Amino acid sequence: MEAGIRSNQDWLDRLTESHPEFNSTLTDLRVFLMNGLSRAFRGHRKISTENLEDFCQDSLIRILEKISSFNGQARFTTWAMKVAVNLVLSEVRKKSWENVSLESLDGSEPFLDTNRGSGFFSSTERNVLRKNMAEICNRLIETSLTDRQKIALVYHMKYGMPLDEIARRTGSKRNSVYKLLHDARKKMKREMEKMDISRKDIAELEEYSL
Amino acid sequence: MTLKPGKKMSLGIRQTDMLVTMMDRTCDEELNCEEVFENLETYAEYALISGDKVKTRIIRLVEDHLKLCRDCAEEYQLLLKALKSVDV
Repeated sequence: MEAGIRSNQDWLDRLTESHPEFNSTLTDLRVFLMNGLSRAFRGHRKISTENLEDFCQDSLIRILEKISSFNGQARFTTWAMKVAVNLVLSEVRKKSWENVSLESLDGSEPFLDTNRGSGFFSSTERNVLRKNMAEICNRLIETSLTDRQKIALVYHMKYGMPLDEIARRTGSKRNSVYKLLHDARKKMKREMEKMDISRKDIAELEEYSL
Repeated sequence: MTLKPGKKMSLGIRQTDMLVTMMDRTCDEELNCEEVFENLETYAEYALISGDKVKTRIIRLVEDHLKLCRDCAEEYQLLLKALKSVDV
């Protein structure tokens, strides 16, 4: 049977170990996940077909462990794919960052190209606005954020360090790191409002940031 | 990971462009990454269906979070890619 046309209840029933079709259903799910993951992670330099198969196997285990948390709001297959993508991406991020030292980051090029948008055809006025805004932001980072907020904001935005990795290195949780960033943004936004920086100025910058 | 005394933490122009946009989008009510993950399959199906769509509060909050969180946005884009390829 095609993986996508089973009902949610059918999946849940068949993925019970005592069900006579448990193994064949697991095989269907493995094929389904492998197809999706191969496409999603195609060309990713950290992933080969072999380790994608291992990830797929790990995903099946995790799906069976978490199956009771499936709330039926979406298709079972969509939920299962979400679990698998999360597992693979977390592993890839972990592998990519585990041996990266902070010293090597401090001496490296930033994650985002700082020169984009400042080429020959950009208006001088806009570049002045961007430069001034950068100076204001950096001053606010220095003066209004806590050390933990500074670390999370700069390592995430400048070097692209994932939130999970910041959490691992600071002995914290991803949600806490997100909260640090949220609070930092709110604090800086309030400071900007006090300085009467207009939404128009901010809107002008949006075309560079997206 | 701690901040060495006297170490200056600063961003480049491109990064501050992005930060300013994110600040402008910052609201008091935001979902955290875990809450977004719990609702990601619902949001993905919402995005994949065509026709009239009703934007519930949760859909709007997930959407807002994805505009602010690069890590969750990357995960969501990969999920969409995977789902499109298997035609669920």
